[in-house]
Amino acid sequence: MKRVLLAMLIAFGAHAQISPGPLSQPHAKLEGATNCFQCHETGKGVTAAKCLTCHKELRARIAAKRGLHAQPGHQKCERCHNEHHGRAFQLIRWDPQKFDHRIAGFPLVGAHAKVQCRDCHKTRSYLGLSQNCTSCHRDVHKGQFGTRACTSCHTMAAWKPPSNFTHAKTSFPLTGKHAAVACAKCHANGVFRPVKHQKCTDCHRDPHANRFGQSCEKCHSTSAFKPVKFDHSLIPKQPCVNCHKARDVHAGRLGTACERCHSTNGWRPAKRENFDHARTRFPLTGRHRTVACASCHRESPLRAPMVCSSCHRDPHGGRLGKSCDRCHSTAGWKNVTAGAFDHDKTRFPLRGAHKRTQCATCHERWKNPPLTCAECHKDPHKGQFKTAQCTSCHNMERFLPSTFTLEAHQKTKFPLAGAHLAVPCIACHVKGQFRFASTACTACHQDPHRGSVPGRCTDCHRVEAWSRITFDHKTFPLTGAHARVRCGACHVNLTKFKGTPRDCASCHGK
Amino acid sequence: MTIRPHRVVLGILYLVAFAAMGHYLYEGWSYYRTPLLERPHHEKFWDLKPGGTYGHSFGVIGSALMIVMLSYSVRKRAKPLRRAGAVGAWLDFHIFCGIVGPLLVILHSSFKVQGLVALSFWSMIAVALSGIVGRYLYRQIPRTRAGDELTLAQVEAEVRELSARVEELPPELVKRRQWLLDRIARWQRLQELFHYWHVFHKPFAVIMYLFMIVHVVVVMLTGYAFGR
Repeated sequence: MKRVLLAMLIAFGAHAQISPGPLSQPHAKLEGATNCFQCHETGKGVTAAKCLTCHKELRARIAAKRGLHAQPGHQKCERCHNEHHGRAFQLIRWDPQKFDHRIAGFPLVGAHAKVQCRDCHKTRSYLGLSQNCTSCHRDVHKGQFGTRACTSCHTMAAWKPPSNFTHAKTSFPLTGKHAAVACAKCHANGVFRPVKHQKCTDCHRDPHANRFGQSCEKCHSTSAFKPVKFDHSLIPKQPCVNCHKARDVHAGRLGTACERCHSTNGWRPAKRENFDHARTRFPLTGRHRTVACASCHRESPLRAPMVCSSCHRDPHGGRLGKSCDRCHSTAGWKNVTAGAFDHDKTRFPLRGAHKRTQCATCHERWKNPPLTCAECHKDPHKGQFKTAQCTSCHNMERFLPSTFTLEAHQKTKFPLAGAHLAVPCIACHVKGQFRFASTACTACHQDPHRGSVPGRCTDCHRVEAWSRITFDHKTFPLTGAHARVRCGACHVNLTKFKGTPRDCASCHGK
Repeated sequence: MTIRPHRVVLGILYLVAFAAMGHYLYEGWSYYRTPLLERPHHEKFWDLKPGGTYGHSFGVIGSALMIVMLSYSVRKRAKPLRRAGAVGAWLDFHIFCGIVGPLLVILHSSFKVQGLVALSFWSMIAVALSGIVGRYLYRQIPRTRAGDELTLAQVEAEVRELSARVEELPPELVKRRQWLLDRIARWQRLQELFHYWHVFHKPFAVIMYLFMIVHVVVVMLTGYAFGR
């Protein structure tokens, strides 16, 4: 029994001695006493050759002298990937942020230095990447450049602009204006090759409709379409208008003898001494003759404004329209044409009595004559109608009669009725008084009862006539001769109404 | 009491051994305190790991001492060596190797004593500890003045002889007789314990040496022989 136990103990112990510790998880399948020499080489330890038997991808990279493991000092696998430390042991432990990527044979420069490791390295082992740009980047040129390295045009700093590219090395060096043209203008839809560029008309429209052939460069350069270097000796002598008529800036007004002012050396400069302004649409007359050319031809030697207001300030502020020549002429601003002035076009058209007024009456007294009545005319109402317009009662023909009608009076605070309708205006509006403090009867009428009768006047009297009493004499019915007696006969002085005696003797005596 | 010369030598050896081990323990303290999973990333890993520059040396020297210590067993058993020095001196040397050797092996293991791997280690510890117990028991074994062990029969014969002439014995032998009587009584009590000591010390020593051989063979086969 003891021997059996001893044998078991030795067997366990032997196994324990064979393996110094469990393998890490990635190598777990190699666990077991029979697998030692999967990694260990007899008498030589763990050799790279053994490791690379399984790690074929690394073996290929090392053979190609690529990547970290091909660099000097990285050949002993177990120096970094030590084993027998248990399942949980991190066989690969490193800080990717501190990794010097130059060791991997691919220094991170430009934009590559800013990306995260996992943006490029998708595999757990970080392997499997190619240094070929298109292994990570989409080839936007769709293979147009074949096997040419992307870096022949682009840099790692940024895709755009392609700093390594120079158009000068292509079959179409960019000169003149071509250098400023956006790439996509010629390379539409990302097509870089082939691009037709043998003839100018491959890109440009021929405005000459092929009349001068396809050798555009004989007259034009890439700097600009104009000026042209057209060699007139190439064509037979003929009138300019044969070719230039369609683009005659003078629209035929100056005739067809272009050579009087222009030469084949260039459209400009023109010979001014032969130029006749009178043949233009704007013949120079009066004071325009003495004005310097540049005063009008400020923007273009050929064109100048045609309307007065383009050069002259309008002192009328546009109120009199744009036809300055109706009153003024080029002889001088102040030489106004007689009878041409129409006061009705101003802000103060003349009406009624104003038409008969002398100009000087207003225009000598004021530099800018006033526009309101009160500023010229004295107010006879002495400010009674401050808020009302004069023209609401008067017109410009004459001050009187007023245009204030009876209908208008009915809309006031004192509509006229009864006997008031027959009263002349002046009877109430004495001495020009139009505003009254009260509309009560006693404002105009004297009270014959001297205040002895309480109540309002209209309680007994009517506006049609004073004498038409509406009072009901029921306390002492007036019958017979009493009906014809004057009120004052019984009511002494018209002041005593209450307490008038009713017995006969009081009036008729005993 | 006179100090025997071999003890002076051994004392110096103890001093040197413990000083050296103390030094390396101090130097490697940070490494030895590092958790096992972190150790491979420690700067002293390649020096102090069991197969490292120092770690391997500890193992080789420690196991060498544990092989040399077997000379004591040879001295005890081989007749030609009966006169090759006193057994006690050999035992002292055996004890020196049995203390320093395992301690060096502990350093060699870098205190990584876990799982089944530890079986050999604990065998060694068992052997060493039982050795200490054995040292105590050894002191209890009656032996001749030269240090050779006496059998029970020899002791009993000596006791009988001494008892027969107890009256005429000088006080020194009377004392010896009494001592032998005490030993017999104590020995009988310790006999059972001594039985266990045999179970421990020798079988575990055998296991330990077997493991050591397996370990060394495996190490050499897998390519970690000393000096590589």
